[in-house]
Amino acid sequence: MWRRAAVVVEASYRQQLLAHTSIEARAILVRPEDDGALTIWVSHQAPHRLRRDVAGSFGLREEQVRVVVPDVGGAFGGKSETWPEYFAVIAAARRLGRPVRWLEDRAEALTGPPHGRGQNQRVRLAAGADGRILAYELHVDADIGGYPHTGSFVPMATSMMATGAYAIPHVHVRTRAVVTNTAPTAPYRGAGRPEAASAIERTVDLLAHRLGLDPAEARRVNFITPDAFPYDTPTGFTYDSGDYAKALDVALDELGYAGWRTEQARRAAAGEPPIGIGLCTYVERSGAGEEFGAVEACADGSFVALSGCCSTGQGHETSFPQVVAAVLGVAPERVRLVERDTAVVPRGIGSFASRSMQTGGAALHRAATKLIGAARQRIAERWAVPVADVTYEAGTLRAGERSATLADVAAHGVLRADETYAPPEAFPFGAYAAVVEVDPELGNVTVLRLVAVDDYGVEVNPLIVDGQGRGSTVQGLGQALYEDVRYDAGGLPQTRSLLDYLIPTISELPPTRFAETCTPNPNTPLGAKGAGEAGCIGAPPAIVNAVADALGLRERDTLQMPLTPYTCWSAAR
Amino acid sequence: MKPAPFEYVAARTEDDVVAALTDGHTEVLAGGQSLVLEMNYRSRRPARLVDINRVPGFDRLATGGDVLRVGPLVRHRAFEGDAVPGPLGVLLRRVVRHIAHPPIRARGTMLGSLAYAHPAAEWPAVLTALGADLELAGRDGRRTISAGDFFLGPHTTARRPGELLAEARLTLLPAGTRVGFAEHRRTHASFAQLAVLAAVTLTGGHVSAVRVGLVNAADRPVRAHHAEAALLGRPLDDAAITAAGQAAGAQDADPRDQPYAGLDYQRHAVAVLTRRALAQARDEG
Repeated sequence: MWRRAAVVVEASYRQQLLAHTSIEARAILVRPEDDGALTIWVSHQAPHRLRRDVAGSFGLREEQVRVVVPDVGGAFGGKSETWPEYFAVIAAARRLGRPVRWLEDRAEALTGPPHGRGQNQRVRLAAGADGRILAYELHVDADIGGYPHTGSFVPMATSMMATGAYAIPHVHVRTRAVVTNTAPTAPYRGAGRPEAASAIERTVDLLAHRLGLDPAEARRVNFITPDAFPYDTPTGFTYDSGDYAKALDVALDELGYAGWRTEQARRAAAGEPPIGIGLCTYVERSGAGEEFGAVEACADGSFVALSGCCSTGQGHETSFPQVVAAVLGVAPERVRLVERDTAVVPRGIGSFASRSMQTGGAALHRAATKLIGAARQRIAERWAVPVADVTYEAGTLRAGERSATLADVAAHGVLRADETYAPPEAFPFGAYAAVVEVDPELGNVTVLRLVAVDDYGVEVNPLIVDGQGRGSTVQGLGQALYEDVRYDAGGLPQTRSLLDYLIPTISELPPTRFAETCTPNPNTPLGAKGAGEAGCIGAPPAIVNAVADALGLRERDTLQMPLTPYTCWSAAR
Repeated sequence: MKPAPFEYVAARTEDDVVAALTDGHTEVLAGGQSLVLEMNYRSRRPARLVDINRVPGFDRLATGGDVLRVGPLVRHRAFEGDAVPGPLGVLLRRVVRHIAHPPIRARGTMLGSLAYAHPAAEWPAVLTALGADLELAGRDGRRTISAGDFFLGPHTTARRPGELLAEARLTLLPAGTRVGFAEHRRTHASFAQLAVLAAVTLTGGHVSAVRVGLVNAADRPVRAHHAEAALLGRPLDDAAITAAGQAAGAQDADPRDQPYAGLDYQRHAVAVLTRRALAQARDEG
């Protein structure tokens, strides 16, 4: 294959170490109770798992451990773990017999665990003269730090997503999780998918450059076509649905692609600072496993929705009641969400992997549907009519002339439906396009325009989804241009404050346009796919490809994130 | 993020301050924008702080004759407006916008920045290039030192234990002096990687006086004598500006290791920034 192919491109890429940089760092308060039980308030993503881990480690029954998650100031994958620090705090509280609190400060958060990303990648890609990819090889060495933690699983996610949006007949992936003497790594927003997308998207660009193809065209000839779904990837996933060419077309249209190519040529002819245009067409994976949801009708006409998910700022309080209210045909403000307390919510997994709406929302959807069924059954029995004769609409059950509200039914006995639902994983996708200007003397990158087209399936709450798109895109910008956890040769952390570890602020935000396509998730009643990490996946390769384009680089191994002015200046020499 | 225990003295007069400083374990608290941060990190653990914020007159910013006098409590923000007349005011206004961000500029002080002597700070290079005088007050009275002799290295100055940096004196730039400033940084809120300032006087179309200062281009602020020499007596044209940039990068700069900027890049960037600062002086005045 490698010998026969018309063209073979090879490259090495670096995924730098990143910090999660949630506004609130880790925080825990442990109060020992009289009977040996524990109440734990913690800034977390997965309270039930933490309860299980704590109970198991301290010889307690699970019901003796209550985990409460108050409002959380961001998590991004760094708070789903059962960190060793928590055990130290718990042990201290038990030993002292009094509450003990630990609030991690910024210096600790930047130097201690967790870090995210951290991969060295080596790729090889074979293609025909027409740009059709014949084979792709990806080797990953992943830095999992000392005392390996959940970061150990991230490179596997990279492997599984290696081929992205493309139909590639032959794939070889080798990943190694490498124990090092730095802080342990953990999933960070995107968790393996940004790494995979970056490798394939940079390499497809390299292929286009080598063959003299437009990078949009090099992608089009290799896309998995809409009629191929469900599509089994060579790496073992089944993509549920997608229309990748459409997302790319929307992105190019929103960008004004042809116009920027004309401007690029004009600048080159006039000797003005160069601009570059970069594309990324990504596929990611969302949701995993089961989630618990329950809906209870109350006698006062209100409803309580219980979810095993755990909002860390995503606005479940708004979007989950919306799901329940839509099924029940009632006003959303009559539905109150309860989550993040193991004493009230019997079981749950939590919020990570963009799973909340896709999995937890779908569980609530089914629970609400089940609640209507249970109410109809109960009314049918009470009124002695066939269930089929009982209709439901907007909170009211009817049969013949008789009617009753769900509140009436609840007044006669608890009316609640519990549901545990495990839909298959979904594969959201999209297309990003960036235009950058590079200061030819100093290497500064200015992003002139960024377009993000995402397909999250059905959006339950577009405003919340938009927020997820914006936030993840800014973090993607951070990885592309600024962020980098550094150690010196002796292993001493060099990024101890936000003066050393630079993140984009409002002043760095480029003009950005967000757009969507909608390919419903065929596997859940809501049709929603995960929406939370897309920008971290789509933005970095688009920006890096744009800088490579601006500099006209043939070999791109020197162009590694973050694209500091020095990096760009050095690459251009 | 809490400081080690320390004593606190609220001074009311300069004598209070100097008296408090004699123990050798006391630090001056002015704006506190760097000191308090370092205390919170516990990289500095002064036994005592003497707070100068209540000393009457310490916030004086006055022009007498052709001299600008800056007291120890003059905040960065004071230079954002038109308090300083003429081209010097223009230069300080252009520079001050690059110092941190508005909340820090509202609290931090020029003299605090000088005393702290952070290599990437803008004011030390400005005062060095312009040949400002610094006055130090101690138990044995006052002494004056040129800014060029004051800075000895990163966070190292000629200020002795027990001395207060009591005043900076800058000579106003004559009318017609053209000024420029160019800074290179990675994000809006980050420290300067490098910066260059220039003040040029033209007589009969030729450079008759010039000052060029480099920020973070050596272990201390630099007055770029080689760049100045490349300009003196010549018209301020592209060739002269380019030559001055090359001299600044190759001869005046003495760059040190810093993240994301190799020594070759730093010399190159000093040349580019010198050119840009001089071009701004020429084109925008």
